[in-house]
Amino acid sequence: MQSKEQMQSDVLHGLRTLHEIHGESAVRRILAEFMKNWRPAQDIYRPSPQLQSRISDYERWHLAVNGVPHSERYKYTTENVGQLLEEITFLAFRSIVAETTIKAYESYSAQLDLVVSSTDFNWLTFFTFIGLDTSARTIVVEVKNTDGKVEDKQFGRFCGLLHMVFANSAQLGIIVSRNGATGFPVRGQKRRTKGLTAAQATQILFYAKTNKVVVVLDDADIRRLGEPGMLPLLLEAKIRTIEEWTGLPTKLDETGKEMNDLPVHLKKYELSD
Amino acid sequence: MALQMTTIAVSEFPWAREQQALRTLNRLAQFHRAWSSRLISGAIGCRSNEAMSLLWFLYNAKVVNPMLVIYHKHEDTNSSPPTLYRDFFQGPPLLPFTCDICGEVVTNEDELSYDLEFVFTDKVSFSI
Repeated sequence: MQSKEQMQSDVLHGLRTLHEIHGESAVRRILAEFMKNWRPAQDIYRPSPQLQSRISDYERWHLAVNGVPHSERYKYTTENVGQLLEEITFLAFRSIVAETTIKAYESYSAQLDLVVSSTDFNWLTFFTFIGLDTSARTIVVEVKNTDGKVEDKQFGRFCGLLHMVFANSAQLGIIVSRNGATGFPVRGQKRRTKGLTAAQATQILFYAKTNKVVVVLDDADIRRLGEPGMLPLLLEAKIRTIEEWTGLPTKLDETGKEMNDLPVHLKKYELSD
Repeated sequence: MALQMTTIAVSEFPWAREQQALRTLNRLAQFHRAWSSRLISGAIGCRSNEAMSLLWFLYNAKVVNPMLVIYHKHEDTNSSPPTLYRDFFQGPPLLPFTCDICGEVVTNEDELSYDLEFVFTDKVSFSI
């Protein structure tokens, strides 16, 4: 006799061993059936102390600059919140219990993106949990440090990148933006949003046309990334919402463009692993 | 209806290739209709994850069904009969529910413990 958590963990260990012996086809169907009614999110995502520490720094930054104009912030904090968000994002993907490769990719707009991929069993588990087809298993992440919401134009550019550059390898894009994106319902608002506008409209149309999903992690989501199981739970919920609306180790991208090594503020975590 | 006999080749499981392990598996198959990873690892001496991988392999071969055995923990005794028995893929029971054994309403996950058993649907013999 054992607890639910121990049982879930044992099942996943057994499936991992079967995956090693018999390959992916032997476990794919079992994993899909297993994920329907068991929710082993905490076996999939275990936030590291480094991540939790940086989320605390983010909360402190928030308190320090709350209500302070952008140009005055240097008086209250030395934290570079852009890099901080990138570090939190990077560490969050490092907290997925899988052997992932994370590369930095500089797109045409000189925007730093992270490209996360893996061939590991646990990565397959992660994708099955969030409810995506396991044929294209790269995730492209863009971190936006703006005081406003991500505009439709920026959102569309990211969709374009996902569609053109990662056409066959990625079906999930994630925008991390403190203030979310335009057109999305505001947390706590009293009136129910009925229509689709701006970036959210682009999100739904892009999914309907390409079957690729772009989700937005906002301030409230970022703060919760330190909780066990939270990243797959958030992604699964956001992906399901989109679906409901509509009823290499990657050194090179699909166009052959070389991806860069990670910048120093992210690379330090690779060295300490 | 009489059960069919199905022969399962386990040569890809390194720990099951030994003649002794194979004999043990065939012996277990004769006497136990429901297998758990603990039963196999205890009898063969393999690790729990290895035993679990064999059980899922048998599921893929369509000779077993995974069943969830659910126990309601009672303070006065360490061993109670199962309160529920169901298809593993249905997941854990929704709370609250009434325990068939003691009649109490189970409201907390911590009151439950589980076993995973794989019940044979065919007679099986093992080979390499």
